[in-house]
Amino acid sequence: MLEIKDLHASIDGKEILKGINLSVKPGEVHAIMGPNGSGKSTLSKILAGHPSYEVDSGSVSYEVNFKNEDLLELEAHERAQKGIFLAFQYPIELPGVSNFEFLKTSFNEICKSQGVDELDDEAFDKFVREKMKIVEMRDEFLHRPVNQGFSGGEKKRNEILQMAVLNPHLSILDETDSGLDIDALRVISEGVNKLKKSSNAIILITHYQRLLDYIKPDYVHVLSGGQIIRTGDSSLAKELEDKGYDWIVS
Amino acid sequence: MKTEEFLEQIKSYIPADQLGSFLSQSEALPMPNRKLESWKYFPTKFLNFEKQEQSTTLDLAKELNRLKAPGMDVLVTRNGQVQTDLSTDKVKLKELSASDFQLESMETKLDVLSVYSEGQKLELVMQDSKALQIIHFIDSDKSFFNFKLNVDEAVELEIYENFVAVDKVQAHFVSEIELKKEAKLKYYSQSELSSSAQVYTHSSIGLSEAALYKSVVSDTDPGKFRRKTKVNLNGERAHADMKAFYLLNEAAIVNHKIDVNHNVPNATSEQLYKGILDGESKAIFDGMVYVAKQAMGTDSQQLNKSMLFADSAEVITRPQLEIYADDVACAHGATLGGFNRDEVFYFQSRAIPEEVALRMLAVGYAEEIFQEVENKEIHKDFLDQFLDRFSQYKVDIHEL
Repeated sequence: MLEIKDLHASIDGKEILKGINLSVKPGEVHAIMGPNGSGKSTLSKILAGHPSYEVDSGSVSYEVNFKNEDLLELEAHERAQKGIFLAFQYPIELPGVSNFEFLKTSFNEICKSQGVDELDDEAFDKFVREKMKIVEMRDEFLHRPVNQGFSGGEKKRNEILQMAVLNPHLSILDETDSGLDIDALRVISEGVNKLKKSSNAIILITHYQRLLDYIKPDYVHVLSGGQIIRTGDSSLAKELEDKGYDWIVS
Repeated sequence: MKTEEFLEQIKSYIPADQLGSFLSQSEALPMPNRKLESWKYFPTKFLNFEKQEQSTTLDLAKELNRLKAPGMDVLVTRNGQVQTDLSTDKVKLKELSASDFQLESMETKLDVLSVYSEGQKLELVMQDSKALQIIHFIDSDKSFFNFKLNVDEAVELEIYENFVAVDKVQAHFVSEIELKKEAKLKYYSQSELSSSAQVYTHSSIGLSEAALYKSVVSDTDPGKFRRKTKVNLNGERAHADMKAFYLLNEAAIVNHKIDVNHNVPNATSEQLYKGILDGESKAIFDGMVYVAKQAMGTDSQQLNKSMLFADSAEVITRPQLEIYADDVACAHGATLGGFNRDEVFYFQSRAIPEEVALRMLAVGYAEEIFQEVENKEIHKDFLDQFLDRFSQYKVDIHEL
């Protein structure tokens, strides 16, 4: 589904990613861990197409509907239309833009790009309310401005609600567990698990093992200094939790 | 313009029996000019009182049909004269004279001119009407209209004032509103001015104890509009909540001149003025919050935010405080910017193209003001007019 080869990238002339290689297949869950400043969020933003980041070399191939795409050639919104989803570490507040309007526009842009009929207000309202149950989100959040006045936990729930609505092929969850209390972590993790399918894949970026107690990864990668320096199974995350990164980072 | 020239030109707009009173009343007052702080940024070159030919005529019945807000009584004026045949009869009109207006608080010859002019001077007596739409049609060279309104104790009232002006006209309005104890006025205003139309309003609002004045104003047009608003908080627990939005293109100018006077303790006020500017347009936010020595416990917020779509557009923002009391909470500020890249990326990461994202962000930017309109029909008017005008704007991420 996703094949990253020798990816080098920078921001404002500073090289952050220094040769990333990663292969993700449908149905897999990959966890990416690593110390602060190792390039985890940069990787997620580059995959989603943030215009501030510069790809210096390397390739990212993305297979969707039996067709290989050069992901780096696509605009950010085209990537999203083709099923790439980034759950933000710090979800953006959009004053004056209602959550309902935002979600509906987003959903309908995907429908439009796929040649499927768009939903009107009534049909989308019914659809989105079902999805809200997945993250136990109250109805009142639907007509409030996007993320404005939301608590940290509510913002993260809103991200997973968007994931549920957009039904992506590849979801990149950037520190979705940060700032969550134990109950919110459970609800959000259960929500993500409900959205897991054999046809989609998830990349989890996290600092902590606790998220991986809920969402079981098939692979755990350690990113340090802009490179993946070790890959293992879920036991690697436990080892990192016990020992920290010092033993692995030279 | 020189004073002599001004006085010569305006003679034809003042009835002969009023001219002497006008001259004596305005003698000590200055002309609007750039030396005056309150007129420093508005180009006074437009204030010319020479007679001009005017060829465009508005079809009032058609315009009224388009503008009429459901469920409201309506008062229609055309070039400073009430059109009784187009107005509902719920509101009683009482003739006034110039001396019935607060002449002592007028600051320039121009303020005084309107009340001494041939334009009508009326008190609007609301009787049992609780919602009034005042529509001003302006399709004649120069015009003047003046009104007073008292909102009685504990009465709640809604006013929706529209200004529609064709090219090459100049109109002046003076209004004085008094809110008695616990009275509430929700005031909404919208304008549609052709590019060379000029409208000047001089509004004064007095609030008694626990009175509420809430205003939402929307100017989305290419004309020239100077809105001068003076709010006097004269009773404790009175609250003035003033919001406005401007969407300006071409050579449009909007000047909000606001004076909020906290004259007593424990009154509160809030101003949020926002806008988007493109082309060669100009917005002037000139706001002053004055807190008198005795006005302890005052709470006042004042904020002006603008977005520039073009380097050729101009914003002059002056959020000012003048505080003489010790125990107050006052904040003021201004921001100027364009679209935020991270916000746009958030949309894009949700499959929404940049152009759609920018438009949604702009609507959201305006909606922060429009959502304050409690009347759904008027809110729709504001939003529809904004969307209609904004669809003609070219949007991109304009970095300052």
